[in-house]
Amino acid sequence: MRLRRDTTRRPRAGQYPEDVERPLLVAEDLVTTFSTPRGELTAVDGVSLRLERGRTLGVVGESGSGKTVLTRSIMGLLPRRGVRTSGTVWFNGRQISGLSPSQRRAIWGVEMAVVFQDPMTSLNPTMKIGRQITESLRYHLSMTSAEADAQAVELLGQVGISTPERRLHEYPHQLSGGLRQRVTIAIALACGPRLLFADEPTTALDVTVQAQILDLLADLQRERAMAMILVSHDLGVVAGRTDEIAVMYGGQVVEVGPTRALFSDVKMPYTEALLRSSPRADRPSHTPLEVIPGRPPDLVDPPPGCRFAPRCSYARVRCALEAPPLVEAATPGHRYACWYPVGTPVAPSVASANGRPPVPERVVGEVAP
Amino acid sequence: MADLALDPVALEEEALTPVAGRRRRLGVAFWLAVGWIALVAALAILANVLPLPPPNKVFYGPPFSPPSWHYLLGTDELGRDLLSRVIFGARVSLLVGFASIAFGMALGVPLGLVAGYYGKMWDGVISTGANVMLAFPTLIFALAVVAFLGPSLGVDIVVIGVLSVAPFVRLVRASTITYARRDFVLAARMMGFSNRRILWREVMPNVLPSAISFAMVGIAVAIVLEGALSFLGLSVRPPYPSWGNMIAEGTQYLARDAWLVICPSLALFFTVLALNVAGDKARAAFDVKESSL
Amino acid sequence: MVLRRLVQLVGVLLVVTFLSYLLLNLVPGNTAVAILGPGATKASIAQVTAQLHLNQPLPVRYVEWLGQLVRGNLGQSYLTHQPVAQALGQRLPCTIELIIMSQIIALVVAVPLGIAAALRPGGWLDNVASAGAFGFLSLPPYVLGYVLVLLFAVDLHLFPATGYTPLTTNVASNLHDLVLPSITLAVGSIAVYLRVLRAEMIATLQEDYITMAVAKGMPTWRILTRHAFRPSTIALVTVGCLNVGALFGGTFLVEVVFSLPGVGSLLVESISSKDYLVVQAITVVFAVAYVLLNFLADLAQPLLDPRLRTGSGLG
Repeated sequence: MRLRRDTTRRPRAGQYPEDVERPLLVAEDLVTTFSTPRGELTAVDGVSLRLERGRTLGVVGESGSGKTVLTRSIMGLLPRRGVRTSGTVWFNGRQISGLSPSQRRAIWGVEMAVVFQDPMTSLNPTMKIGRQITESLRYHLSMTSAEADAQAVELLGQVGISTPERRLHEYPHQLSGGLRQRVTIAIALACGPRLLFADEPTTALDVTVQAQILDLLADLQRERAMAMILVSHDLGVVAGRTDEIAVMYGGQVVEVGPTRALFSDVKMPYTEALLRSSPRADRPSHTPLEVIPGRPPDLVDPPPGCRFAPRCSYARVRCALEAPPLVEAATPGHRYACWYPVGTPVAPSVASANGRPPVPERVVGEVAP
Repeated sequence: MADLALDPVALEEEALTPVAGRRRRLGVAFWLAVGWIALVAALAILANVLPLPPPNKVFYGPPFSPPSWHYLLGTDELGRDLLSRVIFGARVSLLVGFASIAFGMALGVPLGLVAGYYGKMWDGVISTGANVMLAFPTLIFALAVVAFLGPSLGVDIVVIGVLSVAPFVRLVRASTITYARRDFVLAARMMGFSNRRILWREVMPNVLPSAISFAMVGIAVAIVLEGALSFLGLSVRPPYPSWGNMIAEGTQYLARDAWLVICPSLALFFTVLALNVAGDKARAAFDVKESSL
Repeated sequence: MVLRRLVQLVGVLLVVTFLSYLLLNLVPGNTAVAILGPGATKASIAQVTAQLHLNQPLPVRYVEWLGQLVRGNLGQSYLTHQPVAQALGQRLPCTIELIIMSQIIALVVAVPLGIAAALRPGGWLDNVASAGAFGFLSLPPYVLGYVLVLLFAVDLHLFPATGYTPLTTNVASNLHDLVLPSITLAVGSIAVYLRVLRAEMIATLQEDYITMAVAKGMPTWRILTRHAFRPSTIALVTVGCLNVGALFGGTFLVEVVFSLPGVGSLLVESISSKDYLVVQAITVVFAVAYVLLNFLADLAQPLLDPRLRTGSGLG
């Protein structure tokens, strides 16, 4: 069933005429499990989020933390077989978690869109770029061929591609990585979605191009008052470009809050460890990168208690036994799940019992072991 | 159509077990197939010793008899016992099948190993030769050569064998190349082992499994080829039974007694099917990637 | 790039034709005697020897023969006294029609099945189709043909067991006669196409751009036909060319089973009557067709896959 939208309702700057008070996206207690030969793997374990219109949420975590599964779960873009999800998702005031596939298809591309990580593989190599953009326009917005082409040219211009008319007839392999990602963005934004999921949009690109793409996304977002969920394993990517950040570990959200508060008042040891392991320009050169020792938890049979405990320098006995709940920190909206957050004395006996070296003093600051 | 969206986590899990539905283990089908092949082979080998009526004895029973306790599969147009003829016919098919592929392997595997391992000039010569041979339409040339040389069992075996060399060379060469670049070969070389020894001890045992599963399918193809040749009268001559010539002779009486054609047909079908299945399951078990068969 | 391929092609064609020519020498004994058959008079032997330059060294003979070949002169059968080219021309339409019909049947069956099987790998349809493919691969024409004849001709009287009406005489009758043979020939192709298409589609469906299309809200049928099928057809066309090439040499069994007057049955008849010249001529024609089709298959890939087209900007 096609969604016949008014074709004059093209994406343009300004507010959407809905109630601005209501959050755009609310996800409650999302759980997603996969059936694997080893057992049920819980990739997302009770995650709740909310996102206001036009705001950007960064989701950060290692590979295997569940961040990609989370976005797919919110969208509903998961395989049907061997996958179970529970929890509710409201989007634009409407509950979308229980929708049928055809109903969801009416939302995908139109209200919600995705930009994937690798532009090499997310574009169909045997289809011209123009077609890949105009397809959504013609299918969802019932545009004619001419209208769609014109709109595609405009979109390509908006994402910063020169000579867009010519590009319409080119194939993906004729473009560089950065250009391809811009095309992917153009495709995603074609029908003017309210929410964009950007799943590691710059990971596969050259460093020089990364900033350009992120800037582009930010600009487009502002122009269209579009909300965005920016997923990355790299804190640097989300640092300056998000309103809020959610840190995921082992399928759970372990810390979430306004970006500034998160960085200035880090609570969760994992977040601190992530911060420490990102290369930073203000450190002397050749500073060794501090890796987080150990491996992510087994999501088929997760340990009781805090999942980060085995690798945590602050962990104590309680951490291994009881899972900490999300509690509020100083800044409103900043929540974390930790019994002994950053700032509490490091327990060297426990740290060494975990096989971890004690936290170097210069990072911990005034706290002495 | 959420089915089409695969998640990276699940994908990684799936990568450890091949395409959904297939198990890495050889399944029931494999063992059933092997069982059938073993049965047929045993019957063929022991044919002389088994209490079977002589296959060429005409009027052993009344012609066109239906299956009964006396003649388990009935008799043919000359009163010969069908079961016995089918079993003796198996000898021909299996002999040609195994012998020709053995010939092909005996030549193809070493050539492939050499081409893949030593590379450069050796590879150039061997590969070009193999490609030229592969450029020929198999069936036509088999037919022509057999026709020109004069049909006989030996000629059949040699011709099919020669035609099977090139596919083996190509397969083994590709397999060898992937293994020859691996670290354990490098390590062996650094330990001072001779190339010959490395080829024999390190590379070949890794290459052999896929060659063997390929061979099983090859035997199936060879049996079908032999069936075609004897169907056209280019193999064992009557009265000696072979599945192909039994079918050819039986077609004249198709309307009267289809059993004459059905028996050797079923025997051929099941044997070829068993070999195909066994070969494919073996390949799936040894190979993580799905090769396009 | 293409030039190199052409050179290779010519090289292979030369080798193939040379080996085909060589076939005649495989016959034990005097070649002229072999061609003429027993009861050849001294005079006729001398005549044949002169005509076919049998006394000259091999390379010379080969070149002469090749020269004739290129001009379309395939020689003349000394048994039937008919020019081979003429005999081929008479028989070729039947064989070609058989091949075309069988491929149409094969594609009509294999393509939907392959797509459906790829949609749910491991599902019941997939397992049935894969098992069926195995079964089809194990059914040579001389087995399946007679089964079909038994069922449809002998028992049900739906289709004729043998016989052939030329297309020009009566189209309906012609098609009717070719149904069973086409099905028999199609079976092997179905197995091949099914496996290739299924494997290709499964691989394609796992690509990111398919997920992207799904995330754009495109319906399944559209994704299958517009997004997934095109990349998968590349392999299908390649295999198709190879398959048809192989079929050129493979129709003779079907033609014998159903008594169709095609080139294949001419080949078989010539073999039984030891008409070596005809056998050689047909072998050469089929071999050349096979090589050309293989060459076509090689060319198909870059033509169909935009990625492989040379001269396009960045990779």
